Amino acid sequence: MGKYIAKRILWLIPIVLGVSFIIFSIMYLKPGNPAQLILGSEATQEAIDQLSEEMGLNEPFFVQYFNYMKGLIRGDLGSSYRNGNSVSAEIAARFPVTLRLAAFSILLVCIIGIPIGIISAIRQYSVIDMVSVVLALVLASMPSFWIGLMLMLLFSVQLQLLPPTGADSWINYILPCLTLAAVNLAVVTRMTRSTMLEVIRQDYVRTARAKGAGEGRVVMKHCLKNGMIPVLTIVAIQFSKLIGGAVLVESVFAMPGLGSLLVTAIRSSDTPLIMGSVIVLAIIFTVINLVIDLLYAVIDPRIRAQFAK
Amino acid sequence: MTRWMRRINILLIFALLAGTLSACGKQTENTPGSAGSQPPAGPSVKDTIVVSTSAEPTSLDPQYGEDTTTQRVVMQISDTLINVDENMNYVEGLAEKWEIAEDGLTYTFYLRQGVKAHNGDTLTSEDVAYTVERGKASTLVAKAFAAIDRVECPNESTVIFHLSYASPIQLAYLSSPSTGIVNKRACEEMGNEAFGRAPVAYGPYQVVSWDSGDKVTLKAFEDYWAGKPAIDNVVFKVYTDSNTAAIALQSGQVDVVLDVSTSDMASLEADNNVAVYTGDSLIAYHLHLNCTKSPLDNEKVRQAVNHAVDTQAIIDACFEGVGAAKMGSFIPKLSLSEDPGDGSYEYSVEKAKQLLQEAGYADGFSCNILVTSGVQEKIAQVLKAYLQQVNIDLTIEVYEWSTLLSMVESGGYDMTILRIVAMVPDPDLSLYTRFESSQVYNFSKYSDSKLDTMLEDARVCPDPGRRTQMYLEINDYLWQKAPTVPLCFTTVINAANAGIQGYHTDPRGFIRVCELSW
Repeated sequence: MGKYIAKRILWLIPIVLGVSFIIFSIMYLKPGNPAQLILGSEATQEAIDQLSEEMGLNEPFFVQYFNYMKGLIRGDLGSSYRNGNSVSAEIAARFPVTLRLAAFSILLVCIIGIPIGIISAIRQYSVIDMVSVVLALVLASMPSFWIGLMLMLLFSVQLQLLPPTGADSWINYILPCLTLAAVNLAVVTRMTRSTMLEVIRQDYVRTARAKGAGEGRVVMKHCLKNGMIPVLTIVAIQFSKLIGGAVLVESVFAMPGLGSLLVTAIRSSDTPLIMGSVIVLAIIFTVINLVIDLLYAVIDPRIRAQFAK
Repeated sequence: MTRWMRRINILLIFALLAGTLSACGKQTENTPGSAGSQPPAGPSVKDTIVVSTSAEPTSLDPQYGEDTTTQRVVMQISDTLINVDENMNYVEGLAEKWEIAEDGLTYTFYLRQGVKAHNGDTLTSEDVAYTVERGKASTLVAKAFAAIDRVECPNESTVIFHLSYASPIQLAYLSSPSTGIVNKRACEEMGNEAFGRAPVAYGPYQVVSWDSGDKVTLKAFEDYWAGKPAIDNVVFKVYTDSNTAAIALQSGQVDVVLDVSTSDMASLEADNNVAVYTGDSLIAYHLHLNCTKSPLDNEKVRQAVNHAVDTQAIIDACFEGVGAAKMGSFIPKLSLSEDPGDGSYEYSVEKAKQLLQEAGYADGFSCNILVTSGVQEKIAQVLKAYLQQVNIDLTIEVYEWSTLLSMVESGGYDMTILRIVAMVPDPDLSLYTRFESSQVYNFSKYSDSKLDTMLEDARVCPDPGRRTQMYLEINDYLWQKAPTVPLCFTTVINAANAGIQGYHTDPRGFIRVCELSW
């Protein structure tokens, strides 16, 4: 087990190397000069040239990449082109907001989505099943920023119950988390339902029922546990997506998260900030995947047995 | 046994997760302006104003930020030698009075007595000299100090700038937030990076905190030379989405929205708790015609394009009739002491066709236009419809801004739209960077030695009356040569809580919080 984890963590090295090389090449080949973007519309050619020189943009590609990697090895992600702030500090300031947003939303999705999925499966074609199908599809088809704005109008402007924006206290997270949960609910509900339906028809479920196990025990122990692995996978994918991709919701609710940082960085061609964010995201994705793989082992004794070998 | 242990494990994991999350949440609670607990727009109980801004400032250091969203925060913290009033006239700031020598080469400033910095130091001529020196060293704002050759400090309260060439724009620059005076001692002690997060200067507010990507919190400075401002706390909060900012204003979470989109105007105007303010800006949209490529290298063709486009239709369709105003001159009225009048081309398909015929393009021609997505793309669609009427077939190509910049540089285009912001009210800024042949932002690639000379001469003319005349001449000349189709000046639209007293718009998109009260 320990060896397995160590191996997976060592895999981070080629992943980070690959990701950094790809992003750096894209940023290098991308047309447009960051110095010109920074200086704005009153810039003269001399000022642009001077700033390009100061920023080291005139160096050849491999020198620039090598310099960047030299810093990266020492844990230095460099400083932003736009404001000169340290990239690691910027990311550290934004990460908690994104983590909270993603974690609460995914928690909400699981708390609502998995039970609904289970009920839909065991009461297939019932009213609950139909309503949940329709509702999940409607929510999934609506754009997140629109749901967000509507929730804001209702709860903040009309009812004056919740603050529309910000990330100052837990109360600010209610609306954005509801929005993200609404958008992501459908996948988890549907996935739970379909895997549960598959499992319910298995022989061992019939056996469990035959030996006289109560319906609750059959569903929770025999079906759910076996049906959990695909659901867990999908939840993990959604969680990873939320960490890097809740851009619209972050922007609508004016939350200073990682997604909006990355978008601002891309708009201003801020290579160090883009590199830093993407590398951090790549590491987070890898770690989440590792954690999920380990969770498979917790759920499924067959997988655990493979680790033991 | 193992089952129980596993259950306890899972419980522990959840407890741990919940614990970390709530611990993270506690750090930022109870900061001023924190939402939710605010009473909706009560009279005279508020001591905080929350201002929404569309982007985060790059730095709070006056000498290391030059865009609007940065400067609008910087100007609350640092004062300049001179200020501009609502109508863009120069009024005294940290300098009580100033004299300009007749040749325009020597500027003498007499500083106000007993002006305090946020750290208690008193303003001296040394601070001014130091500010000029570091401004010259900063690529971002060097242009504002470029003409100043050396600074002389005959005594503690007198500063003399010796210019290497006459530069009438200097006064405008000295009213710009990028020339805000900084405290020398604090700046040297803190170093540039720390200073940029919390500068020590001579303005009405001082920095309390800056939460990256979120907000900058300021508090009133007790010993401000003009008296402590009426509102104690200011929060500049970043709203990248303008619809959200409008909703936050209506819900009472935000008090001022600086970048109101035209689509929100109707709902904001209908709200009794909100007041909407509009005013002229220094921002102009031009349709640039590539003067190096046939057929647009032909003056008559460019004039024809001017005749063929109804700019009012663009204002109605793309700015909903309220977000922009017709452009009668190449220079914003506010930048000139005399009204330049309306020199724009009459919308006339016949005249356009006739000019095209004279130029030998009676059957029209095809060309492309480079735009960024959003309002520029909308403008291009309207243009396409109008140019169709005179048989000019326009292909719209949408690019991301930095790509567009490099495509313009390489010259592979016929038309493009550019929005130019003049950061200070001086005609030079609306013209020189756009039309002088060697400039990067001369998107028309217009090269005319006569115009270059006119621009250079007006730039350094020390006599204000004569300088105005020179710019009027340039304006007429540009209309005649038509390197662009001037589309519109945008309108500054601000919305504020109706309880705020003393609000007015600023043509540069700024706000002076110290003039406001509840």
